[in-house]
Amino acid sequence: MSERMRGARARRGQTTRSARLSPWWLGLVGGAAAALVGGCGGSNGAAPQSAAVASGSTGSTACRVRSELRPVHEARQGSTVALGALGGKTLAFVADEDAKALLVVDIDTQKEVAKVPLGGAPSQVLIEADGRVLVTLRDKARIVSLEAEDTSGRLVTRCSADTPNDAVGLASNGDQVVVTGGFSRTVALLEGKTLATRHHVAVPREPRAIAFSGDGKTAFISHAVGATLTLLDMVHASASELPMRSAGDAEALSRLKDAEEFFAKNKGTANEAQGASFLRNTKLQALGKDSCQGFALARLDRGRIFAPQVFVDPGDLDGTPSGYGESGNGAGTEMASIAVLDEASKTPVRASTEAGSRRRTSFFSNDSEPVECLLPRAAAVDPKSGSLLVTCFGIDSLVAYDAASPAPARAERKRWSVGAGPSGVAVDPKGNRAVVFAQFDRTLNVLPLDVDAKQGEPSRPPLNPRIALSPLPANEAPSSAYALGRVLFHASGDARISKDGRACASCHPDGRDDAITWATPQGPRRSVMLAGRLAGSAPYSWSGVEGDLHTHLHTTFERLDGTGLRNVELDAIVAYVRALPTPAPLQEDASKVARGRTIFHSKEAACSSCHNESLLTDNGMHDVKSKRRNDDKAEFNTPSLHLVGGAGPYFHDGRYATLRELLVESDGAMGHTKHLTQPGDLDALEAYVRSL
Amino acid sequence: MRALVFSVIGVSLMAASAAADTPAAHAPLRVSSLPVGTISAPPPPAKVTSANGRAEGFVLRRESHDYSIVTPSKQDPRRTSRASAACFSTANNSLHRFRMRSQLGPSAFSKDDQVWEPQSMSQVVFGSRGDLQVIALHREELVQRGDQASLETHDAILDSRSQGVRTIDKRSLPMVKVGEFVSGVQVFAMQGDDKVEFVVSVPADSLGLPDTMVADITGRESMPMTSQCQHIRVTAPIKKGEGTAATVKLRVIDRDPNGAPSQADQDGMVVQSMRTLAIHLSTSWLSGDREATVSATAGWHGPSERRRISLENDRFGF
Repeated sequence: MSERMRGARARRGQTTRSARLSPWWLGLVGGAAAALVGGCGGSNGAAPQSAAVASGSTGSTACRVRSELRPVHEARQGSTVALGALGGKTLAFVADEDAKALLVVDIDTQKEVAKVPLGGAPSQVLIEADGRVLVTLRDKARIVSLEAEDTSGRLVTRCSADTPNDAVGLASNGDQVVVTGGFSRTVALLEGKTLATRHHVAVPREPRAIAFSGDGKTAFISHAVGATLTLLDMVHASASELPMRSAGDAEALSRLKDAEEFFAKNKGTANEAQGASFLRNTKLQALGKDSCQGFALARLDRGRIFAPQVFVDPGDLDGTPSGYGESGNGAGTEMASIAVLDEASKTPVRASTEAGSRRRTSFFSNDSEPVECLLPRAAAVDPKSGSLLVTCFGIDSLVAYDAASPAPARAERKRWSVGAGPSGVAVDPKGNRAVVFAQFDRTLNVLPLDVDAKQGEPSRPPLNPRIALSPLPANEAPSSAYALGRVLFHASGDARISKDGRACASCHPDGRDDAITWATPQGPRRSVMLAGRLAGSAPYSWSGVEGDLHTHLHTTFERLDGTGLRNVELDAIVAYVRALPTPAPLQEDASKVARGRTIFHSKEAACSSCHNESLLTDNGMHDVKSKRRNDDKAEFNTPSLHLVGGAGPYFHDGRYATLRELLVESDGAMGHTKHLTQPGDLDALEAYVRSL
Repeated sequence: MRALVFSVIGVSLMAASAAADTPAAHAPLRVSSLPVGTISAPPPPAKVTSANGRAEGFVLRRESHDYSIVTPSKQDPRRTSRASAACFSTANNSLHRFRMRSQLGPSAFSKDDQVWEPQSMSQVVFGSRGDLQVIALHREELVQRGDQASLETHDAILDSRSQGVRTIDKRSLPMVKVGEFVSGVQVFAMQGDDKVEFVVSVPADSLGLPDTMVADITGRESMPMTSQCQHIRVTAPIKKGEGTAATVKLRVIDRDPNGAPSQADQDGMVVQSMRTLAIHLSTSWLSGDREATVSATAGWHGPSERRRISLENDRFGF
């Protein structure tokens, strides 16, 4: 994908002034040492409940604070939990998406001291060196700056500003604040003090975590999908991409030419399949596997950036495996990895990306490998123990790796069981502990960072004591089906779902898609985005043979060699995927969108002949001349175009990398675009489709 | 990137002793802080010629069917047990040719044999008559003295026809401890020739040592090897801009520090908890490092298992 840079948006940052605590309020609330604020009632009993921001002006001084709060450990990057020191206490600031609030917990007394309703779903929180608490609101495209006015831990909102839609990542180098917009494929650079927008930079799909180089001049940005890492020049606001693949095997590379010749020689003979398989496996070894699940980054002071990820083998797209991406070489379809990036050279250390098969021999047949971290979600470095800490969905663990190793994924030191859905981790080096926020069961785990193996340690680590966050009111809490479905959706290492450890979230991170085309029994199939696209869009799958989600799930688990779930569990997953938070569509130029709409619905283009109605699909089967040799049939289920702009690659086999390619190359087979000779018409059509 | 390169000289299973946990070394350990040394290697087969005479450190004995090599150990005999203190290898790393017999006391030797002061000696059987005639053998042994150690190496040519031995090279290479872990596992290291040599050592004064290898080494181009000595040596190349990582897995006896000692049953077997300990060794030299650094850490790998093992005969019960 070529580098694009949008012009800076000169939008005003917005500020708000919340009512300062008046003396008589202080009298009411100040007496309690650890007061829990009710859900709907305002922040800390001070300001009114709504955190909707009043308008303000760019460059306002309203964002400045005079707080005593300080970050416990300068991480410069956000997470769903941050630790601050205030009034002799260590407080955890928790971005609770379900509560749509920031919770403040005294981790020594294990008491919740404040709850700050934010009017939106907080994705990350960061405590600046000056004591400001920055929180990104994912569904509101906003960043909010709060201040602890006193030492109780209660916060007031000082100012807020716009961010890209689907704000998911947050970091600050002191001078600038960086926010990633996942679905909007945008990174915003904000002025550090006022949060005014300086630049927007277009980047590949699903940017997530941010880690700065030591000098703050480069931001490393991970991507949840697409096997790439963005290097953002903070001075010039320009981006370049670094492919994130497993290291190719030099020996296999030298054999590639022989493999190609062997295949060519055997084409059309009885040995063609064998030749094709040999060529494919050699290519995979030589060129490496794509990575996925780039949700987290962490930095070691010695100039190393850690990028937990998963290498994926989607299978032979020209073959017909019995499941999804069966590789046939026993190596499994996914392999956990942690890339180590040399900050100065901006390249990965080869040892960290080697994805060779793990040969092991053992005298004892019971020797078992620990379950891999296939859904890494957050990372932090503990400087005291020299460990890289990674939280893992599915196995619901915090894993400590040797941060000095050039291949940390192979150097596991310890793992702890934590609550379900550990979405964030923060380190308290002085207290020699880590705090993990388990989002799915809304608990905090406070873990002593004692990473040395000891004799007599239990094989199954005991569940550590957890701090339960305040329960949500009934009208705000997710349904029990949704809650169970969310856990099951992320259950990696669950034999009921798959044999090789994959979870639903492996191919559908955040309920979206992994941008990967998988080999399946029906032919190559691109993972589809789930969030916001399921209602009314039956039948399901590209083959359109599954009339309801239950059946589709059942088939999917069969293909993954899972033993299957009970109906109540299938119900739960369905409830979850139907209610997945849906990102806002991409924002495009309004005049282009209007022109594009006209073209889309025109008889000549004929797009709306199949992508019609409100769901942008007729739910019918059509032959758009896209059948590959090993596809079982030529007709494919019309996908909904809702949110298509943030997806890609396109078509059932992912053959089109971009929407533009699709619009041009599919002319005549699926709609018509060749007639769009007027300047800007194709741009307009693309803008309209991207805005859907 | 240079691929992982491992020279495995010998492996062993060790048992637990109540060793203290290591205070973690969190600052990176620089390669320049390691003593310098180069490990010799036996000459390739083409260069191996006949040998006559004797050499301190080797006795070649003709047995009924086999030839055996007897070498003394410099280890404190209390630290050695059924496992051989020394590791043997040939140029092509054909360790499978060596089969452990037993430790021998001085009484096992005739006056014609050279006699050495240490009470414990390693005997390793190799080949059979007519099979091997002249071989070049590398012997090495880690001799520990507190936090320091030395790797005593001895390369010699052994001629089964003349029963003679000729020394090619003999070295005493200082090493320094870079890690100490549960069950008395220690890691020593030295540097030289753009590489770091790690030696993983496990105390042998324990119960229930099995005869066969239980160590497992992972990494590209790694080969699981079998032998029966008390250390594992891993060679990690150093190259600017890159790194090398290896994991050595050892099965150790995992004693509950609060539990009572196991009692032998009427068959002389005890039930012991055994668990795999993974030792992570690495070198790296990235742009942010003034020089190459090394790291040695450890973690349990997998669950504990309970096994019946013999205290005397190294038999495993199932």
